[in-house]
Amino acid sequence: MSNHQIQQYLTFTIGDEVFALEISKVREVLDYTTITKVPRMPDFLRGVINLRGNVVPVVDMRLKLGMGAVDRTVDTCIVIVELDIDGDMTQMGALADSVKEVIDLDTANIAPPPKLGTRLKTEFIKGMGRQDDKFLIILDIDRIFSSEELTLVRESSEMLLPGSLKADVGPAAESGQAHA
Amino acid sequence: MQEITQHLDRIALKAVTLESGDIPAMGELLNALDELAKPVNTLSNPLPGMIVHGLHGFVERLILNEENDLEFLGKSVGELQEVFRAIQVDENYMGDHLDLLRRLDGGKAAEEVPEDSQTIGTWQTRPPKEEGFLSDEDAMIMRDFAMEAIENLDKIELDLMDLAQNPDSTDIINDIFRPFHTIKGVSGFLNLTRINRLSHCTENLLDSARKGEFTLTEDHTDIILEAVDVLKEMIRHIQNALVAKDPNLEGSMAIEPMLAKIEAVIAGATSAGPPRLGDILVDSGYISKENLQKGLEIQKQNPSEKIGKILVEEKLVQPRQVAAALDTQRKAAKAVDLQVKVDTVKLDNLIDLTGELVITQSMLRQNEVICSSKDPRLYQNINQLSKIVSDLQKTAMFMRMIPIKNTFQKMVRLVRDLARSSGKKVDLEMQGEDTEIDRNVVEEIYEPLVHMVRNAVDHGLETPAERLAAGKSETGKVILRAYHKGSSIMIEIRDDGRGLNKERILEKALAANLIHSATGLTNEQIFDFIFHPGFSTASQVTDVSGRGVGMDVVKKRIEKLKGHVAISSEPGKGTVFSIALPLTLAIIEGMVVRVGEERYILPTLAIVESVRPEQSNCFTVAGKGEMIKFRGELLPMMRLSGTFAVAGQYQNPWEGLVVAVEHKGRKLGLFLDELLGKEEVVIKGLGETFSKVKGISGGAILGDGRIGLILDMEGLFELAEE
Repeated sequence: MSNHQIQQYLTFTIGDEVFALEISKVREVLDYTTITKVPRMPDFLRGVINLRGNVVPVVDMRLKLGMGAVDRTVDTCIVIVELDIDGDMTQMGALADSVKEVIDLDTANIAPPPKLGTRLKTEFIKGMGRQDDKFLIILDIDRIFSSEELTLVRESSEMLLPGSLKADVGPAAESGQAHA
Repeated sequence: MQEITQHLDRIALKAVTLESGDIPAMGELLNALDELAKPVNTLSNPLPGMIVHGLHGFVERLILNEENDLEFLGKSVGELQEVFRAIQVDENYMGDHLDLLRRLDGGKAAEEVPEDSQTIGTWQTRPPKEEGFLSDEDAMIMRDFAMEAIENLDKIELDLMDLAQNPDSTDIINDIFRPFHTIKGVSGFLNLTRINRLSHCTENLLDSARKGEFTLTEDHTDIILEAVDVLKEMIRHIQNALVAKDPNLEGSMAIEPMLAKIEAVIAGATSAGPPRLGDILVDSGYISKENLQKGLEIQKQNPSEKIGKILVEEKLVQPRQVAAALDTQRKAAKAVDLQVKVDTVKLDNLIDLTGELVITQSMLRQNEVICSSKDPRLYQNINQLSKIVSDLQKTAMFMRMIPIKNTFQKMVRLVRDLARSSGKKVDLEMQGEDTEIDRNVVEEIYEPLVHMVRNAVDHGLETPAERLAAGKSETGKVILRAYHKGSSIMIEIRDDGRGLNKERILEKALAANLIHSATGLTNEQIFDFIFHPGFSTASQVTDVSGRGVGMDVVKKRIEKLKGHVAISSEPGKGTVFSIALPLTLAIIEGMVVRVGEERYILPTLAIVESVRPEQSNCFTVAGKGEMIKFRGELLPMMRLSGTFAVAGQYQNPWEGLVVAVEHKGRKLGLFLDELLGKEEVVIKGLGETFSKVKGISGGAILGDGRIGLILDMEGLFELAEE
């Protein structure tokens, strides 16, 4: 068997670039809704939204990929993805400029991420796909939302934010089951 | 032969009163058949043995629901009685025993039963699996049994404590008897012979007491408690063995000494009289003792008359009152609550869903179209809906609430054992045991409570000699108290012992570099050090002040429940640990506050007061930041907009609002824009991503569907200090 396999992807835009996500990870696409900002968090962690009674964190893909902030438009939307984070199925929102369509891609036509020549952070790119002579950037969504990535950011933000200090106990102290 | 007849009579009685689905009773029937089998198998005539064997199989199939013909069971036992009668008078049994055996065997295997088989004598209750461990199905039955048995034993322990206070109460004895009975029946069926024997023996003791043959004393209670401990041990062994797939389920604990003890007690039992209907009437104040006596005199001459009837005829009481008394008597006889066991997951789901319903309902109320509608019917319906929804929510919440009584009563035994082992005299007093508390909280609070009670008795209270020397009564007092305060539950552990030694704690805190100087610390802050991890383990503070081992764990556990614990103590007078817990883990009562566009929820528990301060009361103190004068007190002020980096509407405290909040005896003024109103909100976690945001403990969905963040006092105070 060769690796000729058709997979479906959801495409969306950020600025002029077209990005793609494996459809199997996408749960739904929402119109922009009020995001409650969570204080003392890095900018790309936009906050939380109410998704039918569940609290779902939202990541601003623009900021996460290092593309600079813009004001939202009528096309701005939130792509809800469902990921396995540390063994738990977790819902996350990804804020994108607009959602385009669902396309079929042959996995054989996916090229590895470019080493140079992009202004994006390449570590989040899974590969480059092609559609009608246009390039698509296929994102490594698991990587973007991985707990290491989020913790890493949290730690660095703790250092960056004014006024925040060492005193955080850390998860280990919390999870230690107490026995009196 | 005599023995056989006796057994047989018992079995016959059981068989005819058996109801389908009554597994414990069937288990008992199996026990009885086992006992019958022993003497029967010594008979020269094999027929009775075969019938007993057949019956045994039949009852097993009844339990497994493969059979349901209870009438036939009764008939077969009748036949068995016939067979014995025939043997006794040396006649030949005239019935069709082949047909009987065939039917007892489910109509399939009669041919295989040899008519004069000698092997029948050695059959087992449940043929043990030749190779390996139990089948999955059996293991499941075993697991269920173990779980239920532990529950039953816990209940027995509680009831025994009750019994210690009312040794004459037949109801309580009945309550204790019943679970023993169940354990005995089921363990017999499961071939757990040793558990079966011990529970059977204990049951006998209770049975004699129940029949009024003697009054249970503290010694008896002790022995029963011991038996409960042994049983628990064995059942835990089963649970472990099930996990480890160890075929030796019951372990190897020796039960014989225990059995001997119980039997000795039964043998030495004396008799006492049972209390009756007349007593109930007197207790209810319907009749005087003298009048009751009159009635009893009449009854003596006419023993067949009921006392109630006599009293009514003599016009000493109203028929209505007798009816009420009889009702009381009946109710007491079966004071088993009608309950349904529900998986807690289902319950939690229900509560979550009602939470959602509340939110959706309030979103509906705030919907613009609905708000601008002029239709009075719509308003009426919506109001009705709100009412039902809030009732539903309350009901759902209460389903999870259980009285703290059980937890408290477990302490009775703990205190008793501790007092005994430490040679102290302790009087445990409980107040507010009926206070209801979330089931999940109860489970979590048990261990911390045990720890604190143990500390109170072990270290808090002095020895009798020390107490006398200090001019106190010889018996120390520990008071457990539970009560509601706002939307919290307060639990207090109060002792009248020696109190905490403030100086020693300070010394130790300085030595451990927790503080640099002792100045400016409140008592509460000082006592708080004993919650510091490893604070006391390394020094003698424990011995001197009497507190500290593992207190950090206690604190952590309580904080996990979103509660907090405070200490107050006076040298020589005692110590009070007060635990404040949220009524439930799912809902918090909070004040919704606005800062610019953002909204936060401030737990009502923390709020002292809110004011719009005068400009003259706001200061900036060098090195301490902004301060605000509040009822003569100077409080540090925190700008929520600054701390959370959001744009606030007002820049000056005298334009907006300052809410004074209190946490662990410290106060802080929070500057914000506006109070929007009080709301009960369902707490939602923010997920792993935001789990450690300082100053925020979670989120909640507000009436308009947006998420409001719940402020966390501990975090805010830490932020304020930075």
